[in-house]
Amino acid sequence: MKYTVEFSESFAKEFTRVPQEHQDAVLDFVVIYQGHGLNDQTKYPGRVSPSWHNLPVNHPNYAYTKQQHLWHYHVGLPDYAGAQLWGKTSDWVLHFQWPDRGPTVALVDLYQHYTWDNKFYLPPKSALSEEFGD
Amino acid sequence: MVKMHFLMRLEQQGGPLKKGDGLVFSQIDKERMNKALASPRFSIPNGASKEEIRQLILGVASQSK
Repeated sequence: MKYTVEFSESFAKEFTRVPQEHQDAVLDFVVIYQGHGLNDQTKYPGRVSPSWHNLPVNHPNYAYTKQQHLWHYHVGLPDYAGAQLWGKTSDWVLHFQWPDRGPTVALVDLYQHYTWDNKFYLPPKSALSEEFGD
Repeated sequence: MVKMHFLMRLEQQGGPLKKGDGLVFSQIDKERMNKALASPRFSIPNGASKEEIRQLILGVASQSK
């Protein structure tokens, strides 16, 4: 199966604003995804999670993240926590849309998992691919 | 090369246009086209090296308004 990665102009602009180490982390994800998709997460050193995971269904972010098919990948920056071979967590995560667990993902944003006031950061709707949402 | 998927995306949004759909479809098509043009997306070619992908993304950023 062919796995496709897409990105928007806004993502490209954000990409220019991060250090090369962060860019490399994104590129590592892209290369692994194109080679293996997301069904076998042991291919990834970092954890891949749906962004509505662990949210109560009545939380406003639950509907937003699920309708927009938002997932995130722990990219290992500044470091991975844990000693296991895969599924590790990190402060920085790569947000992406993965509609219906299909063969295409759209890169959205790279950001720290939590904001300064300890809220889970979610990319705004303006950064998302509209046709990937429900 | 960067490949823009306007046509593919238009089909994903509303299904392929069919002969005989007439004026109604031409209006829908315009709406879908405007929507796609408002937020173009780019595909990363499979098999590209990490450095090639980096340059592709940086190239898109440098050409964007």
